[in-house]
Amino acid sequence: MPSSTSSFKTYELKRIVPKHHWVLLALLTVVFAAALTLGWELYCRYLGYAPSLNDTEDLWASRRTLIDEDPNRTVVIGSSRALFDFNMDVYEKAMGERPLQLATVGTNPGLYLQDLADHAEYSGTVIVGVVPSLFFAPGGPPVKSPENHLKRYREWSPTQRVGHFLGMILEQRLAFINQEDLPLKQLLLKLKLPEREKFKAHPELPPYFYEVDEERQGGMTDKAENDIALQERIQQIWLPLFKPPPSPEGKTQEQVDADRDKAVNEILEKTKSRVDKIRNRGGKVIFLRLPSTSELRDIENKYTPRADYWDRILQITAAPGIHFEDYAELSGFDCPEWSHLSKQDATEFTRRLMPLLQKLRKAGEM
Amino acid sequence: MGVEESQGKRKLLLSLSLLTNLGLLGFFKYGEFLLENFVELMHLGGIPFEAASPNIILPAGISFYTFQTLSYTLDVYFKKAKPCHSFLDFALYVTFFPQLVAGPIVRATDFLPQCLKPRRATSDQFGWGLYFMTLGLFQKVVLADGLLSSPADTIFSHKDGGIYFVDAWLGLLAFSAQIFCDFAGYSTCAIGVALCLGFILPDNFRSPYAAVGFSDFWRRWHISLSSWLRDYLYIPLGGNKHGTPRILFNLMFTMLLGGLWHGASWTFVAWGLLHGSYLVVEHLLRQNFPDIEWVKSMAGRFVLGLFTFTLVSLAWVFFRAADFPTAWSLMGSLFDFTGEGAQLLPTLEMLQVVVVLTGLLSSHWYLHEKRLEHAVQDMPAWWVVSVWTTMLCALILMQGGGNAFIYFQF
Repeated sequence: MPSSTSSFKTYELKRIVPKHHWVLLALLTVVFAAALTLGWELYCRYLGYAPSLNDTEDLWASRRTLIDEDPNRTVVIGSSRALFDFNMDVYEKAMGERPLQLATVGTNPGLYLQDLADHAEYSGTVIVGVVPSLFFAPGGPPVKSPENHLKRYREWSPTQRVGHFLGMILEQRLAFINQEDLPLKQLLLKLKLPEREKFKAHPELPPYFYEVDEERQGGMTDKAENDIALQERIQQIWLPLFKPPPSPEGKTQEQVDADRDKAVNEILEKTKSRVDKIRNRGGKVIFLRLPSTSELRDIENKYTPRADYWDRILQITAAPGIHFEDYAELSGFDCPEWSHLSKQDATEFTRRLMPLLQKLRKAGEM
Repeated sequence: MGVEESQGKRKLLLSLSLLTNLGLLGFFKYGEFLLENFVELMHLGGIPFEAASPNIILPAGISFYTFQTLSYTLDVYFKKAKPCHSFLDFALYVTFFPQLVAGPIVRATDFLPQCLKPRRATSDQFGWGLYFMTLGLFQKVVLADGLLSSPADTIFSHKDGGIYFVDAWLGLLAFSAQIFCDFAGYSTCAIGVALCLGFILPDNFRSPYAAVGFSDFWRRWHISLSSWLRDYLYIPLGGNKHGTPRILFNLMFTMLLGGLWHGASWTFVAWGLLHGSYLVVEHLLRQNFPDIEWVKSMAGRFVLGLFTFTLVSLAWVFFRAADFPTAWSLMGSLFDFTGEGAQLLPTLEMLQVVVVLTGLLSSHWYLHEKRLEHAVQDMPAWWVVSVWTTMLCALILMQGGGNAFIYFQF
């Protein structure tokens, strides 16, 4: 609060334009910035990046709005396995309708199921991809992610819509527009500075290794399918992510187990109530366990054994489920980085899945 | 009001205008806050009163354009400005889009005369306006959102116990830099857009973190608000006249309302009162120790500048914290030098805060007595192009995905 005794407008309104040839300077700036951007674009392509859409909350919101137009559509929810391994073209050919892909990476799909259960008119079929460690995650990023996606859909402003559609035009043409790997913040992370001893770092997330199209059909990038070093790097990133976090200080293992069991039971109860709500309106819910392999599958079997998680989902909800290990035709696929199928295998896997879904349809369960 | 001769009728019209303006602001911005506090008061008195949630949606920028329209009314009432006879000009003044939602708060006496003739920017004005827009976006997108928001959010959202003091200080300093870059970034963009359209808007910031003392800080921070409060509240209350006790009251009262202007929460009131206290202490020190030589030396000014910045940063704790428990907990961590507390910030973010803050404070000291325009004028053209290109490329590299401006909520 400036001290003063004089009254009313004690500042001066003027704006000096520095003496430079501003139009020329602006043109030179545009030329240099364009040249540097072009150089960066070419370098990114040289590194193996290609133009692809960012899998943003806006893109998800653009798909979610379609349920409001057609509340009978089949919807796929879940995490990255449901996004990569489920081919919508194959499904459409076999089942006669195009599903909506709403699965998002690293996600507990519970909130998406709740969203559909709460939709006053939704009565379609929901295919729920289950990765037990994510499906039963009680909080943290797996829950934050669907919260953020749903929030964007519910509050999607006209400015964000316009920004999204303009952004898509650029993303489809420029390789360097890649939110996973190439924004300044991600580039700085590549410095890999040493951390202090007591600093608890978040687990590392995989680098850019998947892409989506306008309909959010996901799949591994060509580079991820062929680059062994990248696959091995991602494999090592999955291992800590699929193990339970260390016990909180001051809690015994028994307390930790009791807390986990309580959280699992609560999630199962919520899932049952969501499934019932959809079924009561005439909708259907099918659970789907997609392939994982090698050391990652061993970890899943150890920490989220089928009997305690997958089987209980089906038992409590009384909904049909397809587990890849129950069918010879769905087993035996190789996941290049242990957690997802290649594009070609995803197409084949979906093709082999179709007779099972058709059977469920005949039985009136979808 | 402008043509009415009867003093009684003029006062009545003024009251009507003030009531309408402040009534709308009060309802939309403070309605829920007042209701919550009323309910709390009832509970304290043992009355089990529960109110239905009014779910009031705050119109964007209401605090800014309300103060603009108030300034017009008051200027006309006190015959400092002539009434505007063109509704279109007045509508443009209130809704001028570059600064509509987050300032600078423009006075009618500054804006309306610019509407008398069609505006057309010269090519140099246009180019300089574009430079301003790039600078503003760079401050907002690259510095505030890209490099500073994450460490500040980490520290202010921490709920489980104490924070290691180095992390606590870096998180707080990150917010100090973030709020400047965010808010000054918006104002700079607004000034640039207006300039491209041929309009001149007043400065809103002038190197505030190089301020020596708090009255100097408020001459440099959110200038359009602080000068508004000074001209329409502090001076009508008596300003620096009527003796020390009255001056101190005026300072505290003005800053209290200044705090409340920012948001309907007691934490904003605490922030305002803290700044009021700073001004009161400074006023008393200046009054009682007017001739201390060392404070006029370069070293003395530097030390006082750093001291001012530190206290301003400490006040931001109440501005940014979601509630008082969070604020007190962070205050405790800032002054807990035992080495206890969680280490929350990764090395990279610590480095980002140090680098950006050093650059920011250095630039503020360099521009302490100098306008940005003069500094740019003294630069060789190739240097201007280099800086401009760097800012533009950094913006492109950030790839968007930023947050809304902090001051949009006010």
